[in-house]
Amino acid sequence: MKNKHVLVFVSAVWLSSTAQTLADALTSSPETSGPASTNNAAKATIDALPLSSSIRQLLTNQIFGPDTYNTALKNLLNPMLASGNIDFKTLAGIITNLNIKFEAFDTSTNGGKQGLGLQYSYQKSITQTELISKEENPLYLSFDFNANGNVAFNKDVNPANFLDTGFKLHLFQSIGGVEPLMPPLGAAYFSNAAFVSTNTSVNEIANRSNPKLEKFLDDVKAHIIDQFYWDVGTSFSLEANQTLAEKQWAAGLRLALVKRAWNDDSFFAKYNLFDYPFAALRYLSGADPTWKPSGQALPSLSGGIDLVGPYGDTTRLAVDHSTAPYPRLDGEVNFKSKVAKLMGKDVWFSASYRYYDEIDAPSSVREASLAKQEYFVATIGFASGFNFNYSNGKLPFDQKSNQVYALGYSIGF
Amino acid sequence: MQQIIANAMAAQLDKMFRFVVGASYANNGAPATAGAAPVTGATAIPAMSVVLANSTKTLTDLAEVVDGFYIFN
Repeated sequence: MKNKHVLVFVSAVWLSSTAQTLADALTSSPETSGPASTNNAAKATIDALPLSSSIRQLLTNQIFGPDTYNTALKNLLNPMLASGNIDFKTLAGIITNLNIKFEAFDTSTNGGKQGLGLQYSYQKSITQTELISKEENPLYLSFDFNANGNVAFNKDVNPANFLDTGFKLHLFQSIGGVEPLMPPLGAAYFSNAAFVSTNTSVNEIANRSNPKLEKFLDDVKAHIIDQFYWDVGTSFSLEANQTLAEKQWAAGLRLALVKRAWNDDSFFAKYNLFDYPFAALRYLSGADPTWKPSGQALPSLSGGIDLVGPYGDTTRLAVDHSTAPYPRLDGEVNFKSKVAKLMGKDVWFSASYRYYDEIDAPSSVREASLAKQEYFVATIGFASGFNFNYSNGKLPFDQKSNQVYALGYSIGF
Repeated sequence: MQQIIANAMAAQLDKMFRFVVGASYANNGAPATAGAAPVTGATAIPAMSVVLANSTKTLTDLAEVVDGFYIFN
């Protein structure tokens, strides 16, 4: 095991011990549910087979279940990535930044149809620089490409039919987080801290019984302060439904704010009212030995103002023929907290609320309920990657509000 | 939003490595190869952020990325 790996690990353990688990604490945005429909023709074929209902159901689940597609994708791609074949290097570079989650879902509208789909997200930092090299709190400038959205195998029942693809030029800075005048503990300290395997999944860091680990956490905690992170920039993106039949461009200014109280003794940790119910659940379920709100479960905020060009938004153009750009506000609030521990694994609750509102929209657009969209999604997630989603509302291009229940499984590369 | 939160944690890890562990940027902050970007937080943070935003990644994946950007003396 490389010494560097140990250093990375112990730092990650520190983060996880206060920030709950590493990646889960990060992935606080339960992206919109990615629904889809089963293949009706294939399903009809199965239905026509002379099978008992239980066997038919089993067969249907096997063929159309999200696990089937996850397994197939893993089996297809992992040998390519492991081969070291030069031809796959580009592919590997691309999909390393790609997250895919297959989901089976059930919509309350559309006749309560079940379906299958996938949710994807991709982000690539194309170029970046340190704009102000302040030792304590550097200011960074980055130019990114990003894409995310939901694709349903049957486009007609996709209740979150919204793809967002574009570029972003943004400034970001992390202020605080670590006591700036502290002397580093040094590599010698950490060389004795090889207490656990670095093969541990970032979702599985739960070993808190090791005395070395506990001492490390205490030593580090003394030097940890609140972190405030801001990100401001400009973006240009193409928004579309999955068939690109409806599309529009959006360009504007973005702002995101993230506050994290890494030290349990912080005011924002002790008095994080948002986490009080979840702290109670953690305590009652035995996940936490004491009632302890988390300073990492603070809501994160993002928002912006865009100029939207509805050149291909046929639904809007049907009620307002103007293709002139219009201003639109949008915002998003994210929250995530650990709620329990089941069979040694953490269980997480996350929620996200998104809001879009056209400024001074024409009356025809408002009367058609196209001026404002709200979308809420809540997720119960397990460390294994399995999750259960509930979503309500609509996104741009959705013509009606949907209530969707979804079962999903995350896959990453 | 998910990527922004991952970026925030990567920025915190960067400070952890430099101010707690005492690490320095690889290659004294100079580009690793001709034409490449200098090795600073500007390159290290986005690279770590990609791993941190993916809940299926392991700490070994994170360590592999960190190895390329930091020197732990």
